[in-house]
Amino acid sequence: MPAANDPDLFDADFLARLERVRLQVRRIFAGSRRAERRSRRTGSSLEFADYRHYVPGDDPRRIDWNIYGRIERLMMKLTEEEEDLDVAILVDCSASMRWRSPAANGSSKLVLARQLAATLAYLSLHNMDRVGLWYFDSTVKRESGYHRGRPAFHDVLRFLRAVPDESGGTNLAASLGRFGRSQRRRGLALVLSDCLDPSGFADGLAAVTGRHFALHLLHVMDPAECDPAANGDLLLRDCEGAGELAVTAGPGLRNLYREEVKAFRESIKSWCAKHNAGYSFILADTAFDDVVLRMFRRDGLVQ
Amino acid sequence: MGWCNESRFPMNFLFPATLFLGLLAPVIGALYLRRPRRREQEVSTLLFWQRALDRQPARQFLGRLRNPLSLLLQLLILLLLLLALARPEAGRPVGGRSTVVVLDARARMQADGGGVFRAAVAAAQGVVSQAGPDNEIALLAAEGSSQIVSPFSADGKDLRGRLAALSPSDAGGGLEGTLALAHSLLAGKPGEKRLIVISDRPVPEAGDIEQILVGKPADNAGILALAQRALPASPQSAVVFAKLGNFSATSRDLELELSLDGRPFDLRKFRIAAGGEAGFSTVVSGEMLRSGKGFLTARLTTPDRLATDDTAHVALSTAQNLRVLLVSEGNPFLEGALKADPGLAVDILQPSVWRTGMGGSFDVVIFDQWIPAGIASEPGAFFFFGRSPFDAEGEKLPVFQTELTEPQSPLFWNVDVSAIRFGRAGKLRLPEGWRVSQPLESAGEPLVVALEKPAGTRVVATAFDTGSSNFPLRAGFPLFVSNAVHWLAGRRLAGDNGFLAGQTYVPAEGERISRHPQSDGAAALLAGEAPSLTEGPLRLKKNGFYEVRDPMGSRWIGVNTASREESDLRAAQANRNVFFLPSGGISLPPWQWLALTSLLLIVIEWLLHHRRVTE
Repeated sequence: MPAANDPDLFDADFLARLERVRLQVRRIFAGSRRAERRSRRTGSSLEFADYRHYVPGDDPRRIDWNIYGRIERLMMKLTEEEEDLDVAILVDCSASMRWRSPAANGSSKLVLARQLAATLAYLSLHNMDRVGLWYFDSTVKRESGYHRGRPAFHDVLRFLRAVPDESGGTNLAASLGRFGRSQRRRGLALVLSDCLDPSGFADGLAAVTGRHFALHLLHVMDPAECDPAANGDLLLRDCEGAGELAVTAGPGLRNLYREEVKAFRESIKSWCAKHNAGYSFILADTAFDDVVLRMFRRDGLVQ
Repeated sequence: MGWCNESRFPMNFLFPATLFLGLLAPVIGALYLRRPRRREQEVSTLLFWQRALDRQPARQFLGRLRNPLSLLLQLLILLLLLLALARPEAGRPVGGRSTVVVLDARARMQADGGGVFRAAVAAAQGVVSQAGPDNEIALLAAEGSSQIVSPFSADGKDLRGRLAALSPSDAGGGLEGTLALAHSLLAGKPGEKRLIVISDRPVPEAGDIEQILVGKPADNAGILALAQRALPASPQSAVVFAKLGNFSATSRDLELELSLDGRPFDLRKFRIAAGGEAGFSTVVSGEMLRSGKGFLTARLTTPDRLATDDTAHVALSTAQNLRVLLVSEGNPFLEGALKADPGLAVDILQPSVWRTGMGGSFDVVIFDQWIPAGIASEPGAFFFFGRSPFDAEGEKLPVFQTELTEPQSPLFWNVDVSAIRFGRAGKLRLPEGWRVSQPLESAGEPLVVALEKPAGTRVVATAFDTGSSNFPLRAGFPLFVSNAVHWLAGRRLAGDNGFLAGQTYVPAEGERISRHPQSDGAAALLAGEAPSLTEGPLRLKKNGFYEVRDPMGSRWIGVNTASREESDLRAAQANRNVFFLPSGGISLPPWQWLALTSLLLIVIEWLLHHRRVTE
């Protein structure tokens, strides 16, 4: 696919824009928070977090005896455990992500997804997080392993440039399930996909959240998918080889189509809300800066 | 009456062989059995399309119906095209059809600036467009008299050309003569016969006449009469008579401008009640006449729906005495009436002195209650007063009522007969071979007859004498005598030097008359124009001044519409039972309608079934 192997995708202009985004993100929240992330788990560090009642089975070494001396109750002293976060960025490289509207001259969803993946990896590496990347379609095609430190960003770009040549249909359950099973540490999973899986998206996303990953889905769709201009007697062919369909497209059928797309988006969004997963809907023709600075902030992906 | 009712005859086709092209219908059906060719398009997923299709409620029904509907439309288009190619001629009987179209071209058709006549011509164009080998059409124009615009013809283009060249006349009169001519033309034709009259008002007692009415009722005012005669007290002067009519539902203020030789010299204002008339007279002095040529024009300055009756013309003639011989034992009434007309030079002769041939040196000979032997066969102009060669034997009968049956008769021009009473009158036996006019009657019996032979002999006879009527005591008697003498002399038909539009001027020997009228004869004379003259009879279709030349010099006559029937537009109406528009309408033969309908269906079929594919 030409879009996938576009040599200028991460050119100097993109990198400059990336740096500008990082600086803007930092300027917005300067002084409000340190760069490092804190896990929600309490641990063995010295930084106090909270108290709670003692229950049998707790480590007796963490009982605060000073409190017991004052109020004669056993209270556990909790401290925050600092750790570097594992950020897993999973990019859907299926045929539907490479599809581009015949009527439009824009780039494919995969191009935007790779740029967003690079951006998120860049921001994560600057936060001293561990970043790993995966390409998947019906299975995991490639994985980069985890990188740490800002110099590793070049490895990230190298990985993102090398899009798998062959692409098949989308199978979120198989690919994301395999990913989940391969992870031993918990972390944040950023899935960039159009979720156009004929067998459904829920099993695949559940495979990520079921492994106690914090999930944030970046749902990328092409404007031509949301509002098609198809008209007349057509033989529609699925780009992932799911068959053909003869339709006579008119205003009525297009309205029904738009309603189906809207319902699809709503179902994903509600699923994410139900499972405490983040959700960002991104149209492929949205300006890159707009996505990062406005949509990611709105959806809590960047702070 | 629906003249387009043509269901009495079966439909015929000019080219029935083209219907065999209907065998193409199975080919169209076979083409529809092929799978429709669809434009291929790659999409990212079929997920949403499939769900949308499943939700489309009428998908199954429309999916089955769409192609059959297209097939049905295309078969219908094929059928219409085949019918168009076969050239159907609905309602055409075996043996053909003969149609006579009578187009009313009288003065009132010029109403609305000629719009009524244009509508009539447009309606006629629609009719003649149906001319063809099986439908021959003749065109007649009714313009006071009958004019054959075109004999029976199957050439629609030629008929339309003749119609386009037609213009309305200024004449009045009835349609009876033209309808009689139309019936006689149709009488010699086989097959179906149609008589179509296109006018602004219905034909009374139309019978089987099909009518297309294009008129519109309107208020109007017009000049009903304009005449002149020399002033008895001053023969060098002229007295001008005019009569105006208001044919409106309300009273109107009218302004009449009188011009002499193109220069206005008098302006009169009138208030005329609804449906009323008003007359007046004025004197044109000899001094004014000496300074000009005597062309007097009266013009209503108030514009209305019909312009042609708003102007009238009369030529003020200089005295030119007629020589009249009165053969009488002595009749003070007749002698007084003749003396009252300064244009007459009267000689009186005792009947005993009369000799055959004496009348040759006089323009008119009047026999007062005496008939010379053999006078009926002599040529000349004779006025038999009291007794005539046409008297029937028997006692004179009492007269109870009189009726002026021909108000436009030149004998009774400006004569009021309402107060005339007759005691007894004889019975006149009308001769054969004469053109007879009997303007004054009593219970169907003529009291006055005017007879005319084509050779030029004219006779006026009365069934009464001076002793049996109060007529000689009335003011109208000298006018009647003067009118009769002038008519006998052939000097006028309507008023002094005046004619009604539509009448035919028959020049005397050596006379010639200009073909075209001048609206201002003085201007024409002053400009030195040489009018084209004709020696034969001339139908006076347009109002204006016509020049008449004879070896003794030239004189002018005025021609006017002067008709109540033409000025009264209140009875005009239009009907709706024509299938083409009266004004510039569309009238197409059936095959063109079929072709247009098929074209419309082609467009519809394309919009419904093909436009989307080609987008």
